[in-house]
Amino acid sequence: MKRSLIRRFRKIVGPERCLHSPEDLYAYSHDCYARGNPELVLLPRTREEVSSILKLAHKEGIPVTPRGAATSLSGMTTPVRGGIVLAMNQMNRILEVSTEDRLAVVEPGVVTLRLHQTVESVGLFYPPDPASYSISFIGGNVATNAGGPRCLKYGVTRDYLLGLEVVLADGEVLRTGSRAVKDVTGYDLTRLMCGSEGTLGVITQVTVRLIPKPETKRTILTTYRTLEEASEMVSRIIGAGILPTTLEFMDQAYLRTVEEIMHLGLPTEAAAMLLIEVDGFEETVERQARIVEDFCRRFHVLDVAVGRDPEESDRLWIGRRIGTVGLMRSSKFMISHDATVPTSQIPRLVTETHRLAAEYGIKLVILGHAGDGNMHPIFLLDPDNEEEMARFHRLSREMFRITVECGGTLSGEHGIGLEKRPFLNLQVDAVGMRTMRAIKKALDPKGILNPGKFLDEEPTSPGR
Amino acid sequence: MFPKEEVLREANRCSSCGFCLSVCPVYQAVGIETLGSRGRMDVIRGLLHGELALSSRMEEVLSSCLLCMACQFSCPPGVTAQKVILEARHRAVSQKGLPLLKRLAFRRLLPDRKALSKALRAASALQRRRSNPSHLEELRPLPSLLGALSGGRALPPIAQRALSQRIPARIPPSEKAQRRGSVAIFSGCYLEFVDTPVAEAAVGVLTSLGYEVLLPRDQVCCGAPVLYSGDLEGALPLAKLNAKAFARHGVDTVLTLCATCGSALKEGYGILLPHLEGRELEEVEALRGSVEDLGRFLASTELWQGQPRRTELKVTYHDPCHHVRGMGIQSEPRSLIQGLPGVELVEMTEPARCCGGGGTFSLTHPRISLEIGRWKIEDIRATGASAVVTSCPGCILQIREVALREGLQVEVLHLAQLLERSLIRPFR
Repeated sequence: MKRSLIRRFRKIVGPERCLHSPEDLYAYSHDCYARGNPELVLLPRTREEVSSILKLAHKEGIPVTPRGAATSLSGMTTPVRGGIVLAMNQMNRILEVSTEDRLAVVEPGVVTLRLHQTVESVGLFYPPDPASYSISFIGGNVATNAGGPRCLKYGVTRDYLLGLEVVLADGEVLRTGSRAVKDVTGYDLTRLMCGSEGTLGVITQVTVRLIPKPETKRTILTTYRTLEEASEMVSRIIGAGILPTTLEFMDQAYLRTVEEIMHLGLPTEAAAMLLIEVDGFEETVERQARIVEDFCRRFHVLDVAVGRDPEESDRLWIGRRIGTVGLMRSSKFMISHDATVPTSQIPRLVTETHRLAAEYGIKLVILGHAGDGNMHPIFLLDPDNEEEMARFHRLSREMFRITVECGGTLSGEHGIGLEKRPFLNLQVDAVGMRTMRAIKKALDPKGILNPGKFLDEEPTSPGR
Repeated sequence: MFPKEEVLREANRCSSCGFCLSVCPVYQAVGIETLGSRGRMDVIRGLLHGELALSSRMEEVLSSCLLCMACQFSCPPGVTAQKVILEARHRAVSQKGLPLLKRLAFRRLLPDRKALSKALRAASALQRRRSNPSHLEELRPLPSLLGALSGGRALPPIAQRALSQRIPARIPPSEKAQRRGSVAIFSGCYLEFVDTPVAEAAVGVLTSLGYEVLLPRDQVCCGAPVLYSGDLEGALPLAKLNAKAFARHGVDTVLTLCATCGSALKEGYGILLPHLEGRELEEVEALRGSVEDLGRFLASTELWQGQPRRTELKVTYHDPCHHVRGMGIQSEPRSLIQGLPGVELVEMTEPARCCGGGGTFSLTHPRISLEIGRWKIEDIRATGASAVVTSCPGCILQIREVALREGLQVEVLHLAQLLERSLIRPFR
């Protein structure tokens, strides 16, 4: 980028929030998946600054890649075509929390956990809880339509959006939605922006819907002899009219691998373990927990444990929470996919993915949010072994093919970005791609917003 | 400082997940990735791989870490960032040398208490001549040249008489107490030359409990500022001098009153071991083994003989980084405080969050340091405590100054001073 152009961008945000030393460009070059080569990093603090930046970038045809907390797992915030990284972390004010209208208005750089804590302090609840919620930003959550364990009962980020303020590619400010819970005025542009991975606009304000905070919760941990029995239990619970907050699944490979590393006393003989959590008023929680426990005792269950209070409940989570940390500490590199299928297809996906892993010689454990079929096959890899990575790529294609055959989707919550771009054609046909590209063309005719990602026709090979 | 492969392997284990950013005080103060835990690790990786050079921005990245270690404790893969940062700092020092002031201090003054004393007296004379802004009455800003370099940060007055001039090298136990044996005190520069009452309070508590207290005269700076600046070569002579000073006395307990000194002697000297041999190696090993924090030491003893004096006070406890994450000390000071009649302990929301002091960091990065300090002050304010207690003179200095700047009326006490108040027979 020319010095004169950098000077013009610097004028918009000032020298302290305009970075271009090699060190700064390096630090802003990547997410958890891939690395690019930005030419300039800008840290705007207002909508007006974002708008001015985009106006200039649009005029000059400079790529702009918006960046939240960069906790993304698929390369969404990686600036693969150079240009500007637009780091949104300094737009981090909570503008309003209304208990009367049960909504909050926030800037995109607000950390998800901070929103959780702020609204919970006034008895309200914002459910989406992606694993990175202690550091992820609301803006990033919206741009990727983030999910999380408790989305089974409560839905994902998109289900909590009332309206957005988005700066479009040419610098114009678009306002979508309203403060009303019901809103059918025109196209649902809020949902169009949600999950667009920074390719349609830069989110500068988010209005979220809030619900009353559940009074209490109860956790039940059970183990099964076969995958099918675990799967049947999921259907049985939901069939009984109980919608758990979370329904976490851990397979035998996970239990054995974690046990080997951490010695937590996990049941390695079980084919699967389910962690079931129900929440609500004390009375309903008590009753739901009793029904689930009763099912567990009646049908093919190896073992069952119930957390009677929050502390006991938290203890039951240890195998799930600490386990992934153990995996990270013991493996050189791991990739967690998020292939998602209708719940009836979970046994098939789990069995077939293990068959593929054995066939391709890749170490695999499987976790998942079983209630909504959102599986997390976690592959333990050596990134320096190119041959193994190539095998892994072939395995991924096979696994995604099966996922789509099951009526599922490539990604339940991590997004497409760079990572799953090569597999997109398994799920989206020519008409689908044409439609998406038409939308992109209408909103960003010069293609400056987060270029090189899932909509691109030219392949982009990411660096690591 | 460390084997290259070991450091590279450690740095490569970072998966850039960013969990550390939720606890990195510097990132939260500046909002710039490059100066936060994740970006710093990444940029250092670039340096180690030869993709980035030792530029002035790189030096800023390296120096803008407090070494509070919060990132390590939140890191899912458990990357020991401190090791990686120290290695990078060591490289910077090896290739570019130390700045003049640091070289003078590390190599000439710190290994020689007499020279250090003279230098401090000279600085102190300048300090007294300067008028003070009213809100910093109790603290003296540095002389103008140094003051300008440190963004107007204040330093406390140098003590009229140093600790070793105030108390003898060997203090007998109180006659009324049951004799318990001998302990030595590692005073550290700050308590020797500045805040002598803290050390005297500790001596008072120990002697009244029946301990004979030794204060070896030939001890020097622990070396923390030197080692943590990456000056391995400067830290080695300090470790040797201290190990020798304490080896002479044949005590198996050396008590520290400063979390940073304690952590340097115990953990920091561990880094030096591969660079030592023979008798010097044995002496440093022995010192490491005998070092203990005063609070943890007292918590492990049958503390009070008879009924201690009742002190009505609402306090909160600040965990120094080098205690809670360095030496693993967290519950011990609290159990001591809770054992004091009349003293009520109220917790902050984040008692273990760094105060932003970071030793020389407060002078080299005044803006960031004050911003982080303000967070701590607001947390203290919210407790409604009338005193904040801690176990590190560096933290005391920082909290005292920022509290004054932010208009918070709070007494800042070392744990030893709080304990002394509860003694039946005051020492002095």
